Amino acid sequence: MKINVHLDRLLVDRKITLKQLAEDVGVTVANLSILKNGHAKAVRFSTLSGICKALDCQPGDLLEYVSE
Amino acid sequence: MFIMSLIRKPRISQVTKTLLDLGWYMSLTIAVLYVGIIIAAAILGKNMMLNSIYIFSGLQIGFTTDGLTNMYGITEIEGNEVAFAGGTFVPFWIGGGGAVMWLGILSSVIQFCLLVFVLFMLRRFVQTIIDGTPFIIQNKARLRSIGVGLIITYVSLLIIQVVHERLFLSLVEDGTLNLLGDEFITLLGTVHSPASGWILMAGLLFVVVSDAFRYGTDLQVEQDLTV
Repeated sequence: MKINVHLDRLLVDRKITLKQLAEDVGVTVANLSILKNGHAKAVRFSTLSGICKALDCQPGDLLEYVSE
Repeated sequence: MFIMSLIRKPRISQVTKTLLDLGWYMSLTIAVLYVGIIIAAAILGKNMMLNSIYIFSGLQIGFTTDGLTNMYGITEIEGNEVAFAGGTFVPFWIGGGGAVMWLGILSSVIQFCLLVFVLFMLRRFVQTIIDGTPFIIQNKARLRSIGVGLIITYVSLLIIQVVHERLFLSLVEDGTLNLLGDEFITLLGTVHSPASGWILMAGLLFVVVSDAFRYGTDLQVEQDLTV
């Protein structure tokens, strides 16, 4: 199983940089890069809700389950 | 530096690191002295008397190759080991006891190497604690190697101890050493390497703790990749 993260697409759609999003959510750019590049092992609810709030989206817009 | 670390920020890991640094540089100094004295003794031969150099770590090197003859009429070379590993007194007899002497020296060298190795690894380990990153895979390897080193040292010293005592007894049996009663027991008691059970226990403990660090490292990686 694999979870795809569509953070880069949402950033382009909202015209927001990773740095701006990091400041809005209150996490480091390095951590958001880990999420964006699909290297994250887990996502905190607080981070997820922060991203959804900043990008005005639902968790389903950010994450997608893909069966292998 | 040591005093400053106590005054400024009395964190136990920093004080430990300072003590380990002191021990490390002292050990290196002792190693240089040790080699220097052995070379000097080899060059100058038995006429030279270098008697009992005591240094902080407990390493005592005494060459009394022509100066001192003990009360049993046996010329002796006398040495000691690193206090860290037990600091037991080991006399080495020259008179008919060349193998005994070399076993004693081998025992000293093994223990000294152990001390240097443990100090080297512990300094790096404690530094990672000070840096705030103790749960790394290198630390697991460091702790395991210290543990394995201690276990190997224990086994080596145990073997040396057995051989040492056999040789000592053979010296008594063939008449090279003529001892009776309490004198015999006293001397027999001094002829051994400190294959202390504590070395073995410490070795096992280090190996077990290294396993705990492997688990800690796994948790740390998971934590680092949680956003």
